[in-house]
Amino acid sequence: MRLLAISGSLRRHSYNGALLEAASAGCARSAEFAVWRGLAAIPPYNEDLDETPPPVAALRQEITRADAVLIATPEYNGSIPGALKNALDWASRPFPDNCLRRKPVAVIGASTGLFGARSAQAELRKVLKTIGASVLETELPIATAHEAFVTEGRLRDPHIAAALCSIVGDLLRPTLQDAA
Amino acid sequence: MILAIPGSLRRSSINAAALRAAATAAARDGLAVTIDDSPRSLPHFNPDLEPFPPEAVRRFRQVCADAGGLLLAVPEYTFDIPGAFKNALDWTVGSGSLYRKPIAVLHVARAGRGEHVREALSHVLRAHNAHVTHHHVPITQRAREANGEIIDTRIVEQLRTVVAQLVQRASVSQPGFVEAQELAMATTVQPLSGTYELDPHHSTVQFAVRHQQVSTFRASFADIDASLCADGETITVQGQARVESLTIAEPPEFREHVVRSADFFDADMYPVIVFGSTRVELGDDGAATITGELTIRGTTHTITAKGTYQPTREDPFGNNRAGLELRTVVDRRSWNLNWQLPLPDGTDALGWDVEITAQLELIKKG
Repeated sequence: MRLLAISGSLRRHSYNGALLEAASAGCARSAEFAVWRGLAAIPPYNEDLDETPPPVAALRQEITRADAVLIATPEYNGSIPGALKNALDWASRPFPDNCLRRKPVAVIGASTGLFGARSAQAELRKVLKTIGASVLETELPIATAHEAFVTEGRLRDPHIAAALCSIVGDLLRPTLQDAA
Repeated sequence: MILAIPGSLRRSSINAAALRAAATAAARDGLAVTIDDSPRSLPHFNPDLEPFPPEAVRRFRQVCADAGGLLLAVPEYTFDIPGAFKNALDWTVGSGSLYRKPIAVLHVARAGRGEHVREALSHVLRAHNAHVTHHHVPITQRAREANGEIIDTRIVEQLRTVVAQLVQRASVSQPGFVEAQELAMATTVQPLSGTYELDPHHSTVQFAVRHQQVSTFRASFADIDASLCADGETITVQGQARVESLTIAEPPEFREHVVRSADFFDADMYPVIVFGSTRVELGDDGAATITGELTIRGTTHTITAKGTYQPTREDPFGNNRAGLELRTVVDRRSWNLNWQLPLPDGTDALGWDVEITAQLELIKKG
């Protein structure tokens, strides 16, 4: 099983990157975690472009190759980071037969505030459903993210670590995979 | 000036065409509407870049700040805002460029469509503290000429009204905008000349606040930068302080609360405090008065600081140094630093008034 991990943050020491690392290190050891690092290279979505930009083609291919996608998002202005939404604008085309169609996807998120990017996660689930993905309803808001990690790849709170692994487990569950 | 930003990058975009038609109609009334295509060229928002924003970002923030109001026309992608357009908005939070900005959002979709993007924009622009109105002017493809432009008189008249209302709101809500522009151009003979940069090792930026009603708590920013530019007619002063460099170190919980939490500086979202002057007065008696815009946590307010200056003199190492010592008192609630606890007697644990002082040594560079 191959799981594509996408962080919505471009910060070098991103808490959302650390969250994906924690999932990769601590959950579903048998699964193959592929971390997508192409966000910075995705150009602004423009239907006028005659050819698909190579970074976009690479993203679509990575999503197609993966059995499931795990997205960790920060929250900017109460919603999804523009850069992440832009990547999904590209991934959503051509609609409806896009690379995310019926793809099992889960959304998690971390912020240094008290709400753990909950609003951005809800908005992102809505967007992914609109695109046609099979979206897990579970949320995982990591609040005060600057205190949430023991080291870069390890969560301090065992309950949160367990919740993260349970989401990864659900994402790779055969029933959900069969539906895809 | 009204800044018009289309949310789509397509050449044949109906939203862009509506903004062009609005600009043409407004021009006939003598109202300037400038179309801005920044979402096409801005880099992805990255908080790491906030201390030194790329040129395109600085330019975009400046045109947003300078505009009396914004006119937006945004298509709906996947029941939400197009990412590239949302990305442009993400950049303006740190600078506070849209704070209390009158914004008119034009909706050209037919009735019952585009409700999701309307809701999403309202939600996001609320986070900017912008003043938003929505205007529905449905435009069908049939209303467009062969070249894609919109000249249908009924639609053009509606667009003209939208701009006129926005200009009206801009002039009512921002009377200080025009004054600030004029002040920046005021001319006086100045005792300093050339460009100066801060000697950060011999400069201090500090704040002081009443604590538990018994004494005054002080802390400084270690990582500061400033420059002064005197071109003979006007002097401008720019400065910034990194929130991370706050001298509060122990205990770690205290530092985290002040530096990172939303009660105080929220450093991950707003890593830098920025000041830019709009008027600098240096008197013959050594008095200095500087008015300018102070941005903390993405919110910008005009402040005036008073103090003294020292004219340029040579140090033992051949540098020419000038000095500025300034003080101001602000109400921290204006920048949403709202933390408070009541003492048993009902008074406040932490003062609302904050004294900010700066002792700056400036070295002449040119």
